[in-house]
Formats: sequence, structure tokens, C-alpha cells
Amino acid sequence: MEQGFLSLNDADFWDNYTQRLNTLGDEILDEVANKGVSVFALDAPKQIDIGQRQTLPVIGLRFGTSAYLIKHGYTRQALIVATDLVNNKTYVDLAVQPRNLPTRPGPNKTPDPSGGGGGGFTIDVRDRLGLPWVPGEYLITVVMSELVTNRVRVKLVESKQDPAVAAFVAQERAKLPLPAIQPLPGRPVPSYLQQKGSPDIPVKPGIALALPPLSVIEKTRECIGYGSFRVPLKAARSLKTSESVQMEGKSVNARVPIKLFATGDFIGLPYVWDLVVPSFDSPQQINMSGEVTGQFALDLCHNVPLASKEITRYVYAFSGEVMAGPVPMAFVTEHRDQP
Amino acid sequence: MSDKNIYDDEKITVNARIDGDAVTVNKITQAKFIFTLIKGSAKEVLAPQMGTASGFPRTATCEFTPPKVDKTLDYYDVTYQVEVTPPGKPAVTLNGKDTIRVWPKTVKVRFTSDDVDDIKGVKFVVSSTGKVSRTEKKTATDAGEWEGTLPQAAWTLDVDPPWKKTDVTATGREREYKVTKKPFRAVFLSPDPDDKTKPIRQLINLAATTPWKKAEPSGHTLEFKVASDKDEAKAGDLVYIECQFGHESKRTTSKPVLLATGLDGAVTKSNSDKTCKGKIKLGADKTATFKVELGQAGGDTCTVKVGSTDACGDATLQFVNWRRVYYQLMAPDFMALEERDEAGAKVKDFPAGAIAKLKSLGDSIFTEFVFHKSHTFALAAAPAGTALPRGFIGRATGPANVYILSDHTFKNYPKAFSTGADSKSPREVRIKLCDANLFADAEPQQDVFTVVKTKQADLPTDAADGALWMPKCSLDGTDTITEIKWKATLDPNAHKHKPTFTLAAPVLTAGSKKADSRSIKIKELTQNKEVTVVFAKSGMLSDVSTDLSTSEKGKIDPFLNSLFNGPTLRRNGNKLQFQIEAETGNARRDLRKTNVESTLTARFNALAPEIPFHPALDDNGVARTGNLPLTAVNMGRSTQTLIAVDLPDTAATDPGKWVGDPTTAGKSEIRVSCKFKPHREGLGLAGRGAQKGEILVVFDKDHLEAMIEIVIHEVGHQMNMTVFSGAADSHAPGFTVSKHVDEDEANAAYKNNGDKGHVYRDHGHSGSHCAFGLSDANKLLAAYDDASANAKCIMFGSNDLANANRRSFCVQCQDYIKARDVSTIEL
Repeated sequence: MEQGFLSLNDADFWDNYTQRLNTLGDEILDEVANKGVSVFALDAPKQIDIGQRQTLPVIGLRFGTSAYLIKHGYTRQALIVATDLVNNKTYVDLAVQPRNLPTRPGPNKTPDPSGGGGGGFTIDVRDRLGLPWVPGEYLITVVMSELVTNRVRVKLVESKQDPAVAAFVAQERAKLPLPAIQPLPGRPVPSYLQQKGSPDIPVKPGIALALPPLSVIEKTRECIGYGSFRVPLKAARSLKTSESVQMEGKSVNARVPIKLFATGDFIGLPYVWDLVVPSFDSPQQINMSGEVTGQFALDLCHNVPLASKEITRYVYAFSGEVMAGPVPMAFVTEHRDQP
Repeated sequence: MSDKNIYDDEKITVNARIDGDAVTVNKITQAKFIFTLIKGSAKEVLAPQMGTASGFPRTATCEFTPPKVDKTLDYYDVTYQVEVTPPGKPAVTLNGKDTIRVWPKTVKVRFTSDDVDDIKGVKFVVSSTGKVSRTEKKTATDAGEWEGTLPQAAWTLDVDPPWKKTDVTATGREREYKVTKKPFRAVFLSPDPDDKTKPIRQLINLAATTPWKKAEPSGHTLEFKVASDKDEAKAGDLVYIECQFGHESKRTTSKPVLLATGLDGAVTKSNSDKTCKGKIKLGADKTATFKVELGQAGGDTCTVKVGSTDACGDATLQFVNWRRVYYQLMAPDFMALEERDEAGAKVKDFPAGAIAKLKSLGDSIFTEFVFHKSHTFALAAAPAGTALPRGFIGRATGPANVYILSDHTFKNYPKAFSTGADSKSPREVRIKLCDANLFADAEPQQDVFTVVKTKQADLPTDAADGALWMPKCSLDGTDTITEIKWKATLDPNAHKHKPTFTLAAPVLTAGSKKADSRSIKIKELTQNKEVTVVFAKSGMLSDVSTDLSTSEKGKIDPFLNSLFNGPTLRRNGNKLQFQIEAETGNARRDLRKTNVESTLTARFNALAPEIPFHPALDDNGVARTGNLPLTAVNMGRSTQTLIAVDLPDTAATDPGKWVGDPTTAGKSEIRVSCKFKPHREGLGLAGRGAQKGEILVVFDKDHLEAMIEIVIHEVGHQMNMTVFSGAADSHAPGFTVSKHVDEDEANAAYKNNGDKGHVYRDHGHSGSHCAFGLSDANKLLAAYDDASANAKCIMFGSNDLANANRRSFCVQCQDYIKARDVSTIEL
């Protein structure tokens, strides 16, 4: 499904969506019951006047068989991911705020072989992610373990704002210093040079991840993840010649923020890596292609308990308009033969 | 050991019997008596004293007058020997069998002082120990002397206040004591506890009362009233005060101190301010009042001493700071609480196990949790949707009904808590107990469906993200279920059938004898349609034919086709019933009827279509569907994870009539779906708005300690636990902000299972909590519920009634919560 599938006007997303949600839900329910399909999709208003509205609503659908729904618990697992395309900053957090009181764990669930269901969900993205309420543009996604919705695009505008002021604000935001390269290179990782395990740089804008698909917990000392990317220039920050620095023996001519996170637990809370990756592309290359490429390698298990238990984690990467994932990383316990 | 005690003014008569033959002993007329005085280790043998011997048996007698006891001695002992010399024989010496202890008849005590006035009329107490134990009060003369007889025993002397013995300059029969005279003995008029030797539990968070109440010692600024013991003081005399503070807490505001107000001069502080000294003048009424700030930290101790000299040795009181938090309980009367008598009335309180846990947790933070009132109500008063069969929450035993509260019903209670003067606000917690607490989920309404072969449709709500349900929405009390639908699942094309063809008994008439033509009417009774076929003569003279002509046969097909209307057929049970109206009376007439019947039958068989036909299909051949009222939900079978629906079976079109195994003719499976507002289950809720100050708690008699942990977790938050701002903990002045889980813990006393701090936000919980007990590796986890088994502190962010690990305040939280001001509890 693509943005707009709910056939709502932008204004309907605040208080006039229930009937449409029910109607569409009934249709989908028939499909689930008859064909066993599952649906996980997201819709959102295309544009929001931040002078008129105080929330950024998105509405999603989640339908499937009983087994599907039990495996993917929305309340605890769903993550809302929003990428600010102006600053290429990605936010991620649980879609549903945990209740501020002790709760009783849900009962053990057994799938009803002939059952199913689902429904809609709504998220105030501004509230959940603490988004700055300033003009901008976001790409928004909901992730639940290995499931990911379509990405919806929402523009935040301020209709009453003087264009000159808007231009000034945009100019000022553009001057904001980009965070320094992080993490800094180490031995042998983190590294931003091509490695033996690095995937090829995508031929089109995108991110490619190469992660260890299966690790034995007892033997896991490190989990080296490799990434390669090609992003449009606007997702990066190219550096003037005077700003260029040397790193790992090469000149850094651009920096690209990449948000990496791993989810997949019973509670979807992600482990997050905020990377600012250098690009060693020459200024000429960058100017000619309008794109920036680069690579990274880091130990995902360094100070992060990814291998704390038997689990399959799903890793995602977001940078501007491009994303990667889910890429599974399974951790299993070593089976020892009894003497 | 002496055998006899005498005063030194008494005489001793010693008789010695002289045995032997009468002739010899009668010649002995004298005996020599030798007395020895034993003074400590020294022995003094006195000059022999002669005694006269006479009579028979011969007895020698001597009367001994003991010398006075030396001034420096308390007593001396006397032993004796008798020596006789028989005629012509050597002297014989006999030892006396006993020892005599000689005590002074007159004892003299003299008091001296640097101030001659101090020795006038010194009151003192003489204590004798030994064979005779006695305490005697004495008074010296104006010259500071006393002379008299004391029991025959060792004795000690103590002066009564206001005198004070400073030095003993002599011992023995005549003693001299150096004394000073204090003006009076200071005493506390208030506080006046029954047992002054035990520390007083001072309830520092309660409002101070004047005068101080024994039953409820209250207030953190404590007023002391002092006077002299026996009205010996005069206005203007000074009472000296010394306060020793334990300073157990690091809290820096409202720090324990002797307040200067009313004192004579400044307060002097020493020992890092733990010691405060001052003095105060007695007023015209010979009393004085001063104040001590005990501070606002639970567990802080203080000792207050007063005296008429700066030694402050006259009276002492000790205090330990405690806080008291009251609770009111609200519960339905069918809940298994403990009933007891209180002030003649029946009240319901937590069971003993819960109260013991309350006490244990309270003791660790110097806080008493005290029952104030209970409020109960009958089942009939429970708001709609709150009292449900116990099976709804999976209970097989116990009271028949359980009480389920939600955000909505939490606000709409059949009874109100005591307020105003009848309450203990703002130092109380109001607790609403329930058997389960459900709250609305974040999502809009959800759908669940199931496919059934019986009239009982059980819809597991957990298919919708593990959700629960309850009849009334937790948000506004409206019905949670907004729609129940059913739909037959059969494929209409899999149930195609030709209509049933039947011929009713014909309607026959006699007919006319002569006719140019004969007609037969074909009627279809279910649709009330008919067609008439005519038999004509083939010639003027011929008979009317018995065969249908081609043209007449051609009428039958359109007639039949007009009957093959699917909806009409299904409405009529997919049946067609024909009836022939024809003439009879002869063979030809009967043959015509037979021919029509056979033609009709043949054409029907040739033309009749197969149409979808099944009880589960409606007139249009579409699988039946319908909505059900909420009364279709069977609450007797429903649970919080299951919506039980009974399908109706009254009318032929009701799904209950034909639901069944689809392999059985006329049966169909049915998909039942339901739209409902999903809920989750909580264990507690802290009230907001009108419910501020109230806590909703799930009562579980099988998990009392865990239940109390949840109550106190919430109360702990209200005591501002794990809530910090700025660089310092503003709620515990003087304390730095606790180290977070990603910081190194500097205080060795707070380290546990690693080197990291304990405060955390989020990690799957909402707000700020304590991770004490989790290892450093645990603290790297995204979701701390994965390590909840290691959590030891009650301020950990989640709990579970079935959790076997009991929690309490960790050592760090204890320190912080003891430092908090608990004068207001408003949840």
C-alpha cells in the first residue's frame, strides 16, 4: 500500500478517519479470513500547517491471521521511525509509550488456527519522537521486528510565515554544524575504508548492509557489521576544501549521518547507533554525480548486549531518503553433546 | 569473716572454761586474756588482761572494752587467746573461737567547699551494704557537718542535687567531702514521655502540637519546656542545654540544630555542628522554653540534655525522626480483606501478611504506614461492568464475583473517601482495591474473528495484539464491543442444486361431451403462475387431439423458464410444485392429462438450472451475514481474553439453525467477528485530577507482599523518588543526583553487582527508576524487563504479582527517601 490508501483528506487525519478505517478494515478482514493475507501499512497527511496543528498524526493498518498478530505485538514491538530530510536526522522510539505503572504481562497466547483480526493504529509522531515543530519534511515508517510499513512523506509548513523569514531560517539551519565523525576509527574497527566483508556500493541511492547472519552466543566476541551506501548529496554535508580533514589516510570530503538500529525483541526497544560516516569521494566526483558514497565497518556487539540471549535481531539503516533492512542477525546457544 | 559485730562503745565479756581434774583446776584462780586488734593487714596485740577463775566446772571471765575505731578506719576486727598455768605445770594457751568486728558508734561527715555557703545543710544519702543494706537520707548542719550512728556495715555517701561531690578528702570513721552546690536540678516539663530512657519516635512530618503529645509526638521543630525539680530555682536562673545530633542524613536544609530563639546568648556549635550548646533563663514562672530543629530526615537521632550547670547532667531525652503516612482503603464488601474491631467499629484492612510487609518497608525508611479508615460497598452498588463472575479473570475459587476497575470506573465510585477533618490529608494515601485493573490500549478499536462449527463462538481477544477486553470501556464506560458480525463461510457455487419438481394431485372436472377443443391448465403453486395448453381437432370431423401440438408445447418452456428465478426459488426452498387442471371422464381426456404431465416433466428436466441453494445462503444466493446484539455475548463463558458469543437459533435464517460441519448437508461454518476496544491489564494506577491522592491497586490475597510493593512503589514516587532535576537532587538538599546506569558509581556503599550507577529512564519503562541489583551488563540492555529477575529495589520500573523476588528499598534509595520532606503526600 502507498501513502493515500485511506483516501482521506489531510484534515481527516485528525478527527474524521474512523468510518473509513472501519470500512477498509472490513474489506481487509475478508481478505485475511479468505486468503490469509496480512497487511501492515501507513498513511499520513501530506502537509501540515504547524501554525494550525500541534500534532503529526499517522494512521496505520495492521491485519493478519491470529498467528501473525500474536507474533507481531504492536503495543510492545512497534517502532516509529522518522527521518528529517532537511537535516538528515533520524528519530526512532517505541510507537506506544509504555504505561507509567506496573503492568501484568499478557497471558500466554495460542494462535487460533481459524482466527485473525487486526485494526488501525494512530501515532502522534511529534509527541512520540519529540520532533521540533518547525517547517521541514519527514519520511515516516513503522517497524515491527522484520515488518516494515511503507514510508509516508509529510511536509511541515507554516502558511503564515513570511517567505523571507522562512528563507532566513532555512539558511540558518543549513549553517548548523554537522556532528563530527562518529565513532572515530579504531583498530581494526570502526573503519570507513573498504573491507573484505564490505558489500558493494549500491549503484542507485541506497544502503547495503552485510551482517553476520548467525552467531553462537558463547563464541561471540564481536559482531562486525559492514555497510556501503550511496546517498543523494542533500543527505550529506559536503565539506569545503578548507574543511577537509584526513582520516585513515584519506581526505574526508563529506559526512553522512546514518541511523542504524537493531530490534526484534519481545519489547521492540532498539539498540541504536548514530553514525556520522565520512565519504572519501573527491569533490569533483561529488559535484558531478550529485551523490555521495562511502563505507563503514563496526563491531555491533561492542558495549551492546546484542548476544545476550537466543534471538533473531533485525537491523535497519536510515539516511535521508534511503533505508536498508530488515537484515536478520540470529544469535543461538551452542549445543553441546552430553558425554 | 567476723562472727560478731559490735560498736566501739560496747564491752565484750569472754568466758573460758578450764577442764581437768577437780583438784588441779580448783587450784587455778586466774587466767591471762590476750586481745589482738586486726586493722587491715596490721595486727596490734594488746597488753594481757587478767581474768578471775572460779566455780566448777572452772570458768575464767574477762571483760574487754574495745578501743575506739581509728578516724581513718571504717572498722577493725578483734581476736583473743586465754592462757592458764596449772600448778606445777607449763602454761596452756587456748585460741578464742570467734572474731569480733568493731564498728564506730559515731561517724562524722564533714563537707568542705570553696564557697562556704555551699556546705550549709548539705543533703546526702548514705548507702550501707553488707549484712545490713540500707539507704538513709541525711542532712548536714549549717557548718557542713553530720555526726551519728550508721549500721554496722560498709557505707558510701552521695550528695543530693543541687550539691555535687567534687572530691573525697578522707575515708574512715570521720570523712570529709568537698562539694559544690548547684542552684537546682533541671527537669523537662515537656516533652514528658513515660519512659525517659528510651528514644522517642518523633513524627517529624506531622504538624507540631503544643503541648507535646505522648500518644503522637509530632513536628520537626520541637518545643522543650524546662523547670527546676523542686521549685528550688528562681526566676533568672540559667538552665544549660546540650544537643547531640547524629546527623545520620546528609540533608542540608532544615538541618538539626538548637534554635537560638529565646536563648541567653548564642548557640555554640562543635564537633562538625553535631554538638550544640546554649543556655536559657528561667522566666517569672520559673520555667523556660526553647526549641530544637530535629530536621526533616527520617532516621536522624538527637539527644537533648539539660542541667543547672553546663555539665547538663540533670535530665536527658533522646529522639529518632520518623514519618507517618496514613491510608484509607476502599473495596467492595465481597473482597477477602481482613475484618477487625477498631474503636468499637468493624473495619476492613489489609491482611496481616500485607501489613507486615508495609511495616518492613516502612521501617527501612523510618516511615510508619498507619491504617486510618476503610469504606466498603455492596455488590448491588458496584457500577455497571465492574462486578463480573470470578471466572472472567480466571479464578476458580473465592468470592463468586470479582471487582474490575478501569480508568473510568476508578473515577466513578459508589462511595467517597473521608475528606477534610475526617481525613489525614495531606499525609495520607487513599487506596482503591480491585481484583483486576484494565485500561484502554493506545490503538483504535480492533477486529477479531474466528470460524466456528457450533453455536458457541469463542473469540480470543489476544489475537488482537495480546489484548484483553471488558464489557465497559475503561475510558468512558461505554460498551467496549461496538459490533458483532457473523457470516457464513460457504462457497455458493459449491452448493448448486436443481429445484425440486413435484406434482400435486390434479384438479379434474367432468368436462363437456362435445367440444371443438380441450384445454389443460398447468399451475405452479409456489409462484402462483400458470399456463394453459389447448388440444384442437385436426379436422372438422376428427376428435380433439390427445397430443400436444408443437405450438402448444412451445408454451411450456417459457412458462418453466419464468419459474427458474433464483431468488424466488431460494425463497421457496428451491421447490416447484405443479398442478394440472384437466377434464376427465374418459380415456382420451385422461390421456391428454398424462401427456401434459409427461411433457412438463421432460421439459423441466431439460430446462431446470442448478442454482446455489443452502440454508446459509440468502435469497440472492449470497452467504448469509448479520449483526448480533451485545446480549449475544455470554458473560458466563467469557473471560478477559475471550469474547464468548452464542449464535441465535430461533428463526430458520438464524445462524444457530444451520451452523455445523460443512461436510454435512445443510450445514455451514460461520465466521464470527467482533469490533472491540482493546485493553491491557495493569496492577496499579495513580490518580490524577479529581483522583489525585488515590491509588488503584490490584488486591491479590495470594501475593500480598508483591501487592504492597506496588503500593509503596507508587508512594515512593510521590516521595519524589528517582525524580531529579539539575545537578543536585532538589528533593533531598545536600544530595547529589544519583549516578545513572551509564555513569560510574563513586560511592562504594551504593555499588551493587558492578560499578555503574542505578538511576535510569525509559528502557521499556516510563519515567525514572532504580536499577539496583542489575549487573553492569544488564544495564546495557535496551529493555530492562529482560533482567527484572535481578532487580532488588522497589523503585525498579516494573513488577508482577507472581514475581517471586521480593523487593525493598535499596540502600541508596533508603538514603535519599529518608532525606525527603514527607509533610505532604499527594499522589
